Amino acid sequence: MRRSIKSGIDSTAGFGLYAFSHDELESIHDATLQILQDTGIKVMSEAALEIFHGGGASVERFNGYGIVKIPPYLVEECAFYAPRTVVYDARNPNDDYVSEPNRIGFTTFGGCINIIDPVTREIRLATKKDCGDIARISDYLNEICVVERSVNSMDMQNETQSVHNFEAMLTNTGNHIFLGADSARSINCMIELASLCVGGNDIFQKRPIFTVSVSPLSPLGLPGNECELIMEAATSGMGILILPMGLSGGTSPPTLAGVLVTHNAEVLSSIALAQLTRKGTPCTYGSTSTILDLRFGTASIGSPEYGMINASVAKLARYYRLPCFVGGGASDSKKPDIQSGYEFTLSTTLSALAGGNILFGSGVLEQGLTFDLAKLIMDAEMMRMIQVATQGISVTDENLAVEVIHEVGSDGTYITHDTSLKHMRNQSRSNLFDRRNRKDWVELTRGKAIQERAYEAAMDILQNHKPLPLPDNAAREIREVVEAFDAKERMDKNDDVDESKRKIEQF
Amino acid sequence: MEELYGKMAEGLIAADVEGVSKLVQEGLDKNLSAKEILDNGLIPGMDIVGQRMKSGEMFIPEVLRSAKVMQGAIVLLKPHLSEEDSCGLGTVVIGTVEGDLHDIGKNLVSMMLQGSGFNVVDLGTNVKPQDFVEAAKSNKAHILGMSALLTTTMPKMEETVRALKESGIRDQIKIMAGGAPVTQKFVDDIEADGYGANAASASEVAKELII
Ligand code: B12
Repeated sequence: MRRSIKSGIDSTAGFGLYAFSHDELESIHDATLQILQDTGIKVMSEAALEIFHGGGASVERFNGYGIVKIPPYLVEECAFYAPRTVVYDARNPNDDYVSEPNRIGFTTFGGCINIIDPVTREIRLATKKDCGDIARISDYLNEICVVERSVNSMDMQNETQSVHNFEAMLTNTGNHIFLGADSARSINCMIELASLCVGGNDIFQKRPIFTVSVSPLSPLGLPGNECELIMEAATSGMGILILPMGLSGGTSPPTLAGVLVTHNAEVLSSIALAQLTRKGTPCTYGSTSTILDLRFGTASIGSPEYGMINASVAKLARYYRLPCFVGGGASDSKKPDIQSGYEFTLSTTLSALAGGNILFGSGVLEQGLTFDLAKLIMDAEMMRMIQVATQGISVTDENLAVEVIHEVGSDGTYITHDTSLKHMRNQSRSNLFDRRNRKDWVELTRGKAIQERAYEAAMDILQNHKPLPLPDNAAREIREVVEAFDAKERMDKNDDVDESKRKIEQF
Repeated sequence: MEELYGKMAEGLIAADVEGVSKLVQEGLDKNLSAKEILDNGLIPGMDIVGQRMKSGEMFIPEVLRSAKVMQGAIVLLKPHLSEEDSCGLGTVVIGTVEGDLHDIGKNLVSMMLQGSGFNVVDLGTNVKPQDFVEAAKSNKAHILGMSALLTTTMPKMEETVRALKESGIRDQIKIMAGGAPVTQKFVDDIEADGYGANAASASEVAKELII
C-alpha cells in the first residue's frame, strides 16, 4: 500500500486553552486604554512624573504624587517598543531560556518569609542559606527554567536582604535569576556582582543574567520605590518583570474581567515608564493576581480563580506579544499535603495550557508566606506530567500506525513490536509518584509517605548537586562587594536612626 | 427592652439602615440612655456579626455594611453621649508602619473596629514612629494599632513601641500589632500588648485590652 503526503490539513500542535476570542481580548485592551486615558494612574515619584510628562502623558500634581493620564497611542507605542521575545541569559549559557510564544517553563514562588525546616519540620523564618539551598535545588531540577528568589534572607539586615539573596543565588545556580530589589543602590550592587560572575560589565550588558521584579500598587498605582527601580533597571540596560498582585474584591474589581482591566493598566503603565526611560527595555508581563477570599480575608492562591486569572494574563501577554511570567501552582494549604497537590495541579495546568512562558508557584504554601522543599520536589514531578500532557497527541501517518495495527492484528502484542522499542521513552515517567504494584511499593518504600521521600530527595540533591562553579576568585570578590555594601548600608541606616531618635527627643 | 435590643442586633446583622435608626430613636424615646443602647443593643449586635465573620458565615462585604449601619447609629447617639462615652468603646489610632504600603488588612481591621463601636483614627500607610506618637497624644488614644506586611518593616513596630516609651505615654496606651508575618511571639518580644490574626479577632482583642 502507498500513502501519499496529505496537503494542507489543519493541525494542532499540543493541547491548549481557548480562553478568549480575539474580540474579547480587544474588549479588554480597549477598556484598559480607556482607564489609562480617563481615570489615569497614580504615580508617586517626581522623576517618573517628569518622564511621563516628557513622553506626552498629561500629569496633574497633588501633594506627593501625580495622576498620569496616558493617551492610547502612547500606551500602544510603548508596548510595541518592548522586545517580542526575550532570551533570559544565564550564567551557564546552556541554561539560556528562550521565551518564544507558547513555550512553557516553570519556576518557584518568590519572596516567602517562612520555611518548613526540612530536618525539624518546624515552621521557622527563612535564611540566606535557605535562599541558596532552594536555588541549588532549582538549578538541579530540569523542569525549572529560570530561578526565582524563593525566600528572603531574613537573617540579614533589612535594606540589604535583596543583595544577600542575590549572592546566595549566584553561587548556587547557573540559571537566569529573577528577584526583587530593595533600592536602586541594591540594583547597582547586583549589577556589580553579576559582572564579576560573567567576566566584566561589558559582557553583562550583552548577557544580563538577572531580571528585577517590581510590583505596582493595585489599584492603579505606581509607588515611588517601583518607579525608582524601573528607571534604574532601564537605565542600566536590564530587563524588568512587572508583577501586580491585584486582589479581586479587595484592590481589584470583584468581577474577574475587571481584574484583567486594572491589572493590564498597571502593567502597561509600568511598561510605558520603562520604555520612556529607555526604548527597548525588556519587559516581562507578570501576574500573581488572585482573589481576596471575601469570607476569610486572605489572598487565596489555591483557588481556581488564581488559575483562571493567570491563564488569562498569559493570553493577554500573548496579545501584546510579550513574554510572560504568571502564577500557577501555589497553594493555601499549611502543609505539603493532598490539598497542596490538588491546588498546584489545577492552576498550573490552566496556565500551562494557556501557554504561559514562566509559570511560578511551585514550592509554596500558606498564601505565599511559607516555602517547603518537599512540595517543591513533588511539584517538579507534576510539572513533568504537565509538560507531557500539554504536548498533546500528534496525529501523523506514523502515529496513526495503521500498518502496525494491521501487522499485529488481533492475535499479536505490541510489547514485542519494534515500534514500542522506538517510542517507549516518549511515555511519561514517574519517579516519586508511585506506579508500581503494591508489593513492590512496600518493598521499595516501606510504605513511607511521599512527602518523606520528597524531603529525602531534596536533602540528597543538596548534598550531591554541584552547580556550575563561579570563575576563579569571583566567589571571594563578590563576598567582599557584599560585605562592603552591607557595611555602607548599616552606616547610612545608623545615621537615619540617630536622626529619628533626635526628632523623637525634640518632640 | 430585651426585645428592642434583640431587634437592633438583628437589624445590624441584616444591615438595615432605616430599621436600626428607627429602633435607636425608639429607645431614646423610651428614655433609655445612649450608653445603654450602645452597650446592650448595638455592641452585642456587632459581636454577633464578628463571630459570624470569624466562622465564615458572613462575607466581609456584608460585615462592612453592618459596620456602616453601626456607625450611622453611633452618629445618632452622639449628641446624647457624654464626652467620655462619645468615643464609644475608646479611641484607636491605627496605621501601616513606615516603609510599608500594604493596607488592605489594616483597612479591614479599622472598619471592623469602627463597626464594633470604637472611634478610629486611621493614619494610612507609611506611618513613621514619631507620627504614631504624635497622633496618639493628640487624639488621647486608648489603643495604638500597627500593621506590617513586610518582614523588612516589622522592626518599625519595635521602634514605635520604643518611641512611645521615650515620649512618656507608654503606660497610658495599649498597643496592638498585626499583619501576615506578625506573630504573638513577635508582639510579646517587642513588648506590645495585643495581637490579632484577623479583623474579627482584632476587635475581640481590642475589647479585652480596654476592659
Ligand atoms: C496584596 C499584596 C501586595 C499589594 C498591596 C496592595 C495594598 N493596597 O495593600 C502590592 C502589590 C502593592 C504589594 C506590594 C509589595 N509586596 Co506584597 N503582598 C500582597 C499579598 C499577596 C496579600 C496581602 C493582603 O492584602 N492580604 C489580605 C489582608 C486582608 O490580609 P492581612 O494584610 O494579612 O491582614 C489581616 C491580618 O494580618 C490582620 N491584621 C493586619 N493588620 C493588622 C493590624 C492590627 C493592629 C491587627 C490587630 C491585625 C492586623 O487582620 C487583617 C484582616 O483579616 C501578600 C501575601 C500574603 N498572603 O499576605 C504579599 C506580600 C506581603 N508582599 C510581599 C512583597 C515582597 C511585596 C513587595 C516588596 C513586592 C515588590 N517586589 O515590589 C511590595 C512592597 C510594597 C511596600 N513597600 O509595601 C511579600 C513579603 C515578603 C517579606 N519579605 O516580607 C508577600 C508575603 C508576598 C510574597 N511572598 O512575596 N503587595
